[in-house]
Amino acid sequence: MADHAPNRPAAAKPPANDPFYVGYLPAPLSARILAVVLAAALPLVMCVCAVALNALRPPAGDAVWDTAHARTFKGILTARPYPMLTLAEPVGNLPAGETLLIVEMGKFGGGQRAAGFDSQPVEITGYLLDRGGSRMIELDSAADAVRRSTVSFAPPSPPVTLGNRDLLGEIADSKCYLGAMKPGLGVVHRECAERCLRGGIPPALIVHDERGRAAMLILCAPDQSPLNERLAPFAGDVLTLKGDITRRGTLLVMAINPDQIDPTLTSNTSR
Amino acid sequence: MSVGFVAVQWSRHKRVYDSVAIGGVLAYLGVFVFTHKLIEPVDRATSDEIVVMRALGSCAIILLHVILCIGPLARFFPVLLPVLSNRRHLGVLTFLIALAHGVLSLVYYHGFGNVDPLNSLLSTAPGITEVRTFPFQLLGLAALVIMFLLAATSHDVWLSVLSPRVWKGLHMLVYLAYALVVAHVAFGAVRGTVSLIPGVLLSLGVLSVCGLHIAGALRESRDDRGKAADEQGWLDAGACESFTPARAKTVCTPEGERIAIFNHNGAFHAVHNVCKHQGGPLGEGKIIDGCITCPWHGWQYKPEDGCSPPPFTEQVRTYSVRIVAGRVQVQAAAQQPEPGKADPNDQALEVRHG
Repeated sequence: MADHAPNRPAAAKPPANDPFYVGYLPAPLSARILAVVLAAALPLVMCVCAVALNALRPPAGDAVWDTAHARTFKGILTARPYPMLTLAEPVGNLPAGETLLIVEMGKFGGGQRAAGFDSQPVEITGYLLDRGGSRMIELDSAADAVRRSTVSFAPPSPPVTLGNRDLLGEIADSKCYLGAMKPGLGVVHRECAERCLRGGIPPALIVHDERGRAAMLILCAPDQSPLNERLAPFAGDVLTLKGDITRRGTLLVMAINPDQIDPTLTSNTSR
Repeated sequence: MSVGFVAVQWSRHKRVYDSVAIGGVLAYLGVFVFTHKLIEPVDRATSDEIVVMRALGSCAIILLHVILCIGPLARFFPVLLPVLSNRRHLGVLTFLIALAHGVLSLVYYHGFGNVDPLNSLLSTAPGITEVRTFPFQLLGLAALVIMFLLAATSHDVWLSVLSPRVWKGLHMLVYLAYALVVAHVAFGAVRGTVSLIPGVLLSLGVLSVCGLHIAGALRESRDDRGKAADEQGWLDAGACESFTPARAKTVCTPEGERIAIFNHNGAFHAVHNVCKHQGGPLGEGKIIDGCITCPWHGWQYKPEDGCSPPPFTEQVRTYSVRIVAGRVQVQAAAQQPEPGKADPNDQALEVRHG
């Protein structure tokens, strides 16, 4: 970065032949040619490296996090296992009956603000996250982003039971997976996922079918209690979970017994 | 040691050097981000922050490879010495890029949560016992701390304060930083992608760094085969005609000390091969304006007595030279320092292939 004055007198003549580079003398021809070659080649080599590193990298996923448009959602709020809203009225392309998870900004779940509104009709202002039909609302920072609705809505349909299954997938935080971070899976994202889960973001199991299509299942205990702290150490791991699956709108929920997770069967996945 | 320090002794050379380096970095970052956007469909694109993070991280590791390879490369191809001469600028630039990568990663992956980002990062340490939870980000943090130390002490004032031996020892930590960076990338980005390209490029980089250093060490080992001295301690350095004017030949004593013997206007002078500045190989230097000139940073010594020209005060050891039957011979034992002068053997520092 900085240099010491060399230990030689200031006046000096460049060598007549036998090129020899010294930083404080006029550069010999070979050094000038080198500078021109490097000036042309270095950016070129760096560009080739940049293209090579980007080639064959799989796309991050079709998640959308619409932070540009705050929307108002109306429906019945359910607090357990995680805050979620069942729409009473369509919002954009979302039909009535659709169920959306609710979280705060940053790496925090929506439990605190949703707690007083369980099974109540509410209006919510927030931002939509959407990936493959799984959806989430990130609450606006305004104090009244969750407010009781003056209009009553019909209670949501009961969850549809889909049976008990064994599924192989990656433990993830649902917010990043749904578009808060792309990619929101994998080894590099592991610590972020753990931080999100410890902050209350609903944990999810991301599974793929034989054609590579992904699906997200929110994970909770059989008694509908949240599993954030129990699953945080497994963030980013690929493992097989066994549990009862239910569907609320398009939202899939899997009730698992966390005591049956076998950490020795985990493996890391590649994205 | 010195008559004065300035923050940066700018010259046209340094401006050209820094312009090329910064131009290369900007071109890389621009092309990286552009190709990312070009290759990925808009609706399936990676987050902008992660694209920038990847661009900065990969740029830093590429520059680190250049820094580590340029030393041995310049030994094999002296035309590259100008790149070596200002390598410290490249080192500081690399640190700044790595720092930007680290800060962005820390904020993005560990920020916005219920724990401050640094605590969140440090809390991953216990995972070191398992491959699946191996805290690769901590390896990057450790490398960044070392790179900060190197960048912060890159100025010659620290060379004076710490002594050349300590300073060089500290800066050899760049190899530890490199090992940490390689592990950081291998356990992180390489393990986390299905693409083989990052792993292949990283392997090629490691092979290049190791291969060049091994090749340099083998060459030095060959050159360092100590010559047998006669009973009076004289070593044969070759025929007088084999010496190029203003250049040197290097011989190694049985004890492993290198001696540079210069042909200066037909007279022969021998000095210790190690520059007092950063341990550069004086034997690869040249006599300019009557002074032995180090190929690394141009430090100079008078061939007759090993002293730097006034007002500078450095001195390298000198050795007796004689001509016998048309052959140059050098005494393996250094001449004693003049009374009242410090022994130039003190703080001698040898850089084998840095």
